[in-house]
Amino acid sequence: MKNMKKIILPLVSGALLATGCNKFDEINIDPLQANEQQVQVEYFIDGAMMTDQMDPNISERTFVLYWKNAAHQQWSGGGIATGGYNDDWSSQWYGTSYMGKALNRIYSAVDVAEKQIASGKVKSYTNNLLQIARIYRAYLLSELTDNFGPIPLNGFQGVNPTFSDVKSVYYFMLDELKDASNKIDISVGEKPGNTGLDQAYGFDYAKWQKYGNSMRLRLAMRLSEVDPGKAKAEFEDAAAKPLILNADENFGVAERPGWDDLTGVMTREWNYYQLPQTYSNLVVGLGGIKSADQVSPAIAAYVKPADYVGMKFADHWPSKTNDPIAGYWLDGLPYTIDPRAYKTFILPGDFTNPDFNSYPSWDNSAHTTVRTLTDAGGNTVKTLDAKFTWNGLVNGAWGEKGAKNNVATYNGCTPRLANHYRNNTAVRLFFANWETYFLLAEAATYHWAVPMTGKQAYEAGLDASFAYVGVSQYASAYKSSTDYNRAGTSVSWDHTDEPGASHTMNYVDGYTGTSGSVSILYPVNTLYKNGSVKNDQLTKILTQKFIAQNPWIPMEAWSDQRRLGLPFFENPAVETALTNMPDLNASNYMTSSVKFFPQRIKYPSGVPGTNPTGYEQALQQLGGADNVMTPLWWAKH
Amino acid sequence: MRSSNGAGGSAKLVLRGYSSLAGDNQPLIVVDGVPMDNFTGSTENGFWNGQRDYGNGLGDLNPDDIASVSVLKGQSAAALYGSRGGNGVIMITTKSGTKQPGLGLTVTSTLSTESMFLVPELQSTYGQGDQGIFKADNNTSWGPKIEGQSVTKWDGTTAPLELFDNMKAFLRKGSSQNYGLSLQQQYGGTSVYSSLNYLEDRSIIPGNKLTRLNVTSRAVSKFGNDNRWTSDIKLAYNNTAGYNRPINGKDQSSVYAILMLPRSLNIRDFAAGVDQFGKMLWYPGALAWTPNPYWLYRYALNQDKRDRMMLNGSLKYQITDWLSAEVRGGADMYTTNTEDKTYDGGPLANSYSTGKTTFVETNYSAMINASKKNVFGKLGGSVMIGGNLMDHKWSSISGSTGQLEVPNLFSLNNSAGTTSVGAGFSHKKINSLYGSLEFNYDDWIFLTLTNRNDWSSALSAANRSYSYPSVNLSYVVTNMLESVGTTVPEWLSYAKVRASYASVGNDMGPYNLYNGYSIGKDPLGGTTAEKESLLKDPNVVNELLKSVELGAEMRFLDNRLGIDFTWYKSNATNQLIHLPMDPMSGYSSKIINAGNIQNKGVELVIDAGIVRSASGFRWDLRANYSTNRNLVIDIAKDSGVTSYDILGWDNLSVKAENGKYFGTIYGTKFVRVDDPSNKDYGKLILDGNGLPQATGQSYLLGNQQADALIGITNNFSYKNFDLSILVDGRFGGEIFSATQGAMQANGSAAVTAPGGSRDKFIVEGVVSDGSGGYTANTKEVNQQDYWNRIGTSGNVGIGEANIYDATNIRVRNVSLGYTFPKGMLGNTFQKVKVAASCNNVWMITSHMRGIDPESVYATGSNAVGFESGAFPTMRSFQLSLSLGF
Repeated sequence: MKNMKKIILPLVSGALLATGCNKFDEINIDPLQANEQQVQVEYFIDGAMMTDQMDPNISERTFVLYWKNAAHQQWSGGGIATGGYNDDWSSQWYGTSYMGKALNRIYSAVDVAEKQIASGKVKSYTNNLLQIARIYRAYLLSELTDNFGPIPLNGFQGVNPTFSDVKSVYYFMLDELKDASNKIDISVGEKPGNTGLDQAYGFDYAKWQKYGNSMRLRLAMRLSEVDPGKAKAEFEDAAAKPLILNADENFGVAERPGWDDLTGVMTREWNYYQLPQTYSNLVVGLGGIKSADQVSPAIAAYVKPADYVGMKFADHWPSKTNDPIAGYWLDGLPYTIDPRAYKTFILPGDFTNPDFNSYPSWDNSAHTTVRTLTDAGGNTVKTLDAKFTWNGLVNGAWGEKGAKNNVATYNGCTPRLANHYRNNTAVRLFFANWETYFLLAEAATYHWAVPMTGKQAYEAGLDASFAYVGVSQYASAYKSSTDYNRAGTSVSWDHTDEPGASHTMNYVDGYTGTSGSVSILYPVNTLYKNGSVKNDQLTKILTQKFIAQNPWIPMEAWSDQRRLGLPFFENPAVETALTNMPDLNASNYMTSSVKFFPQRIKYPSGVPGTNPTGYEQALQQLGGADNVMTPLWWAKH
Repeated sequence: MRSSNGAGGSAKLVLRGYSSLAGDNQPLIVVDGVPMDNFTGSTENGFWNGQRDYGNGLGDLNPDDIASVSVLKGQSAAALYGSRGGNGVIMITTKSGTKQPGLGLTVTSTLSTESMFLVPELQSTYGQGDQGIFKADNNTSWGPKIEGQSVTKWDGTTAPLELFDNMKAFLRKGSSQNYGLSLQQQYGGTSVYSSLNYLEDRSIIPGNKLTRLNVTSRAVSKFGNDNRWTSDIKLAYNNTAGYNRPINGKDQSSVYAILMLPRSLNIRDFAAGVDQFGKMLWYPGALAWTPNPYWLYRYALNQDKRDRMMLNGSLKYQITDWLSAEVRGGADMYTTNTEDKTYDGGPLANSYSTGKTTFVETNYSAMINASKKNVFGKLGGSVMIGGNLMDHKWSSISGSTGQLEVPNLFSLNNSAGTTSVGAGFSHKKINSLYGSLEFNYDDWIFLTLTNRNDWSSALSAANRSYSYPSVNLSYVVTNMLESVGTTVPEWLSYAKVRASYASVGNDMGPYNLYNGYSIGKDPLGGTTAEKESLLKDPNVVNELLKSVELGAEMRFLDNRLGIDFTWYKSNATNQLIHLPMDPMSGYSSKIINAGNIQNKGVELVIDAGIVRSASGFRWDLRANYSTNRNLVIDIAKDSGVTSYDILGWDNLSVKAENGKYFGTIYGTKFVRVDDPSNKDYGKLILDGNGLPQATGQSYLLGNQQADALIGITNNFSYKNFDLSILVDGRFGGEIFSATQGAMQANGSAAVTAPGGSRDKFIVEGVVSDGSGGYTANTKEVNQQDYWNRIGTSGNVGIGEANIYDATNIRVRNVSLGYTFPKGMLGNTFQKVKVAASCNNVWMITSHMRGIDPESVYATGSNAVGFESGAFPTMRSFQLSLSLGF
């Protein structure tokens, strides 16, 4: 026994002591971790902006398949446009890789800046970075609340947050924007060493201030219906301050090739970005500019007379929708059209146009324009060439009509979004000068105090949008046009005569070739003034804003439609029942209702599990079921 | 539990239930006394974007080198192996040289083939299209009846509409070849074992392959006076390479893509992969995120190669006949290189990524053992004291280009954007002291006490040291009877009862005490920063697993019949849980000490030598019965958390909930009349279209836990033949299948064409009469609308419709061997043996419509009650030849 103790115990304990535990604290320091003294405010601002720029994974799910579909900026068939949602998309976007990350970073920016200021370890620009972070945080919060509704205002403190109702969220964002914009000191000359850490403005403090004020206009206007007093007060206060009025003040971030945060949001090749009927109905006939004057002489041959609606294919295009031209397919180009349309959506078959998009590159579908309509047995009934034709698409269930139709939704058979938006060379816009003008014009219609007349603002908005698209040469003729589009709205500010209930058009029966004439209704948009008004100034403004915001700012287009029911969105087709939109049926599809358009996104399935108390609060504040069809506080109910 | 996912896919081993909510619950693998890193193949599989399964660490071993495997299910090994033994220990002893007649050389060759064991039931009557109408660019099977009618195909050609077996057409017969050469011999006091082994395993997925080379050498020498010294040195080198490992989940899974393919589309049409311009060939209308499987395996390539060394040396000195000392050192080190290349021309970004992971774990231990019988009268015992130093280091570096600038130039310098660089590092040490004290009274009563104290670098100074004792008592009744002079009845050969209590402490990964920031790069090279996503706590303490076990072992009739019975209960307490948080808290989860998860069960093993005939015929039977109740006593009540989502997918979730068995499955149900007093109580309430409706809320649908597992092995031997048959049964428990739901929605599932036709039908149920009552439904619906409602209400359909009883009984294995009689062999060969075996021979009963309940979502997940796009299980045939020289 003695031997044993002599040999072994020293051996064992000696070995232990030799390495010992004294280095354990050192071993347990993560060499890859940075501490609070090492991190700078601009690192967080940059991180937040990069995250919100969206990599292709999340931009496809959120920007494209949620926002653009909900906003009718592109045809989607179903998805959120017919009440659906995808828990994976919602969870990813809400989670710590995207919104959770962008907000976390911007909250850290505020937090670190405040700590630096409190400790006195500041640079001349630390205060301005704090205000920039607060402004950007307000924008990120608005993205979140406009999708889900109630959201936390006390988040990112290391505990599960409580949820605040939409009203409190809006009041908070408005207060923040006001205070932060006021506190930016534009006389500070110094900027962080790397201005590339602010991809929007390169730390141009004056531009950030304008952005803060214009953002305030946007958010104040959101309350126009539900809380007009607050909306007016905030709007008028902000409108008197420096605003985004010039294109070089637009909030935008340049896209880049590759696959990262800066990769284009609309670059995934399998998404077709086909012309939605909502957009088509608004631009056809609007502004009185002839197609023949906009296209090359060769294409001009495809232009149809002004009173021609198209070929009627009752068995192949849906009819159970309040789309005014449901069932018709235009075998050419409309006589007149908004000049931005052909620049935004490139015609099928226009292969020599450098802005023609050939995606997907792995098949020939973009270059295929000849397709068939069949009977129930699959036999060809009609072969159509969609080359140089202009047809939008209606969402919803097309049933057997869709099954027999190989033309309508085919990639190569519809106008599709221009290539320069899709090839990673664009600047993604978050706030453009036309929006400031259209907001001011809208405020003017409510007789709020704004620095210009409604007409001035409206026409300046038009000019800004035309300049952006590169069609300024048509602007002056356009602005005076009194022609109605298919929704019964004209351009001229002063022309508020209502169209009749319908107008007579000629058509050709697609199966027999027989010509005929038909009375085409101007749609009754029961969401706005119960459908009695189609051509007032507010409708004009929202029509123009809808066109101008395509393709970059779908969230605002969606929010405007939720808030005002403007412009006119046709109902999804219900040839067969829609699983996620049970209220729309064969007897009510001619009426517009908030139940026929998505209102929000369902909370991710993880929220009730991880934050049951918060989720319970959110449900209370939402005031309805946690699903896509429950309208938000500020929206039409 | 399961082994699939293509060549070299990972297996999940769970002994006695889940003790940890989110941990891998995998037992510790110990090879010749040295722990081996048994990383799991894939941690979490996204519903859409799955991860590749890179296989287990255990898969790096050469099975031919293994002499024996023993499984320590309880925590009795705690003192020796420490915290990582908390989920049980699998002890592998490799071969050492023993005296062999002849040269001692053995050559083995094993060939095997594999094919899908079960195929999900597909309908075989209806083709591509929608609403009964053929459509060449539709991705569902809701088209017309397949009757050879002429249609215009996807490529514009005209052809008759036909049914295709695309599984068969695309998948190949899996095959594997294994060649081994080993030398086993004793030369004087030194015994030597050396082996060389090469495996090439090609799975059913074209392009998917695993190769493994093992070289092992072990020498055990006894030397010195009276051979008091023993040295044991082992060197094992391994190279494992995986090529084109398949992905779980839905995106880019070839098997899933084929399951969802319209039934009348011929996958062979796309066999070229690309067209003449190098673009992916695929039918228009195909879901863009499910590329052509032929393109995928040729133009989206991945490979991983691992070089691994396992070194192991020990020196033992027998000081006296009762006292010995031993020092031991071991290292497990490997480097894994991975590479991914995606070519241009398809829907995936033309991109390149590469990475390297290095792992080193060293263990040094010293131990003394004293053992002597009859020290005080009949009381003897043994004492053991030892110490261990563990050092665990891991580092990784990776680069990824995103979209490439110059197409198909796979270089990290060729990114169209910015090459992103990742790095990881971790380092941890655990020092341990342990000891055991055993009392033996007259060889019939044994009492063992052990204790181990660990010092972990991962915990704070105040909490770094923790100890855990165990006590074990066993009582050999038959020895006692003999000892006191009582005659043991003839029929009783052996009887022993045992009882034990053990506890195991456990620490956590390094760097989990204090929060900081991580610094990154934006695509333009600018610096970004963010908080870490895990909220840490410097005050957390070690986990503690406590278990009690009682058992009895009896053998009768001259050892012909044996019964071994065990009852156990274990409680995992104070777990270091990463409690998920709302992302708006600023963190995705936080570390807390909480939880109490209990496993209580019974295990019964019966073995019987049924026939021992004089002619040499033997029939042995071995039956296992086990039942385990895995109860969640508490998650974290004190933090207000009584439920934990092991997996959540939209309305479908698998949970651990306070007071319930682990793995409750929640999902939506059919809307029914829920007023018991109503005459229509329990009937489906249909909507105006005559279709069933999903509830808005989720309800308890089932539990993933099995009630009991039974395994019966029959061994027959006659002269030189051996035949063994294993029948396995799992009883009880449920599983949700998202694959079935997706197949129903797209019209490929057999149930969408009952009896081979798609007649309209009236769903049995009631419709609201508008005044609070109900009337019987009379509205006809078509199969497409019905199954769309079932499969697409919410994101996984109506949960209740696709929850299945996971009970299944199968013939797991049949093997037959023949050893050539010595007389036939002549002088060259010492032993020649041929054997044939088959795994997954016959599914006797199962309820998942052609999906094996064992093919689960992910081996890295504890939610085995959820199946989605799972890789099918395999049936394999194996033929092996072994030649001994």
